[in-house]
Amino acid sequence: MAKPDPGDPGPSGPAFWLAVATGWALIGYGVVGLLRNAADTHPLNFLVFFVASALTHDLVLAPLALAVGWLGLRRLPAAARPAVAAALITAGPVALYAYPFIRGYGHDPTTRRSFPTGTAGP
Amino acid sequence: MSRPNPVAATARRFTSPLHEERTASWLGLALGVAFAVCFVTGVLSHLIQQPPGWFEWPSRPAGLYRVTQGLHVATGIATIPLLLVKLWVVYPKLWTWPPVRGIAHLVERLSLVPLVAGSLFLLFSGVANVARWYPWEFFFPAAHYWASWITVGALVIHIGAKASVVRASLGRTPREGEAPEPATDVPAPAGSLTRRQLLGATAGASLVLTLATVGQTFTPLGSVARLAQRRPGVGPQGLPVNKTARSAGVLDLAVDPAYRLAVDGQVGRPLALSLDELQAMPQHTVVLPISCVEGWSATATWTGVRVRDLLAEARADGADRTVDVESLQSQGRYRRSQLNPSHTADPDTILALRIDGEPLHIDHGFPVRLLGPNRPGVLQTKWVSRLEVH
Repeated sequence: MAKPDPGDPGPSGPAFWLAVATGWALIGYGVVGLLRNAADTHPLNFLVFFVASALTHDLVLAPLALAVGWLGLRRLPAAARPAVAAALITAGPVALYAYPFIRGYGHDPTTRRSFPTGTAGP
Repeated sequence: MSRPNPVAATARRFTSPLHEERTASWLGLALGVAFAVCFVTGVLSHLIQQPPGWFEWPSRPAGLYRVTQGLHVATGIATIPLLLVKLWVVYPKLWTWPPVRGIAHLVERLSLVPLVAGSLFLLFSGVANVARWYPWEFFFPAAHYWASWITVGALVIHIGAKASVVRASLGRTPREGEAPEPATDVPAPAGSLTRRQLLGATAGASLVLTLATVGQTFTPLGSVARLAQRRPGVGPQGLPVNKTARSAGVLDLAVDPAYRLAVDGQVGRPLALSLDELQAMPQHTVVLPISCVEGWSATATWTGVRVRDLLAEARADGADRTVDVESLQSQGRYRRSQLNPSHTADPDTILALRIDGEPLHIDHGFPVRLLGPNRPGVLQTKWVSRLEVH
């Protein structure tokens, strides 16, 4: 995959440049909106979370997933690998989604919640 | 002898045949649909909560916001596996060498920064908001909204760059002189997933997350909504609560015998009504949902005084007026909401005093709560103390 993909000649043509113009106009609208509403959006703090979202994925989550594939799955019998891989594809996103709830991040102890159970307030 | 390029060396480690265009195209199509749904429903929710002059959200159909916002959150949650697997499929492209092959390629790659960062930010911040977890300084709805424009802009560029690749790889319109690619599965080495298995597992993951959460608004699936933080039936009087009277700081004010509801502003006869006086007025019963922006909703039977009756009592000139509804809360962004003329005039827009025949639980807004059709839950103001008529 290091070489240019022969199936992908790369972007070109007027439709691409029209999409670029439209896309950057929308991006510009979003950036101007962020800056004009700085009291609500805290642009620098926003930028930290925006960039951190990508870096956390590219430098932590994706390498972790690849490492599981390289190191973990290869130790399993070949016949078991597809089923385990499919199970991990389900379990990973479910675990990521559930993590803040299980840790109780943001939970107001004066309210009742249905997940996780057994931690209901009044 | 030249030293080996570490980036190219890293890229050679990605040996799975699933890092390929056809798999990426199917996932990209699904993501495109999901992002379109989230964007349209999200912009709609923003317009409803911060209406510009040209926009007036109607009070009917009564359950429309419940559907659009439920769809927004459910689609966002279902998108998590799609996005993560799509990024895994195309991850080797991050290590493409040489990194840039021309101006167009540079422009395309630069647009991937806001696309990837924005997509991940939207999903992360959305899930955190559902958990009511705010580890940042910004106001979530504002940052989420403006980030969506940035992300969608980057998505438009990505679609412009990849539309021909998707068409070609899905075999609909082969490039000139090229035979259409047969719709066969990618051959998998022993022990690896095939393309169909990968796509099937991804769809399965989205289905599991959807089934485990969508019952928070789609009641037939309530019993399997094991990952839903709020579920119909769980809460005082069988109704979930986001903000309690304690956390809103109104525990004493709400039960103060000196409580009066003020109706003032542009009225002929300002009112200051006690709870007894409100109870003595004609009562109207409605069956309406609380439709939370976080995706859950729950229906109850509410009884109280029609807002338009109160305006008539205060001799406001006509029922189609704009009304600011204020809470006893001394602070908080949602201590005030606005009824546009459509909502003010609607016969089902009431100041509720009872739920399912019982006085409101204090966490549901005792003594008085605004309840109207087709409104976000945060605009169904609790602990109402004042109607200011414009």
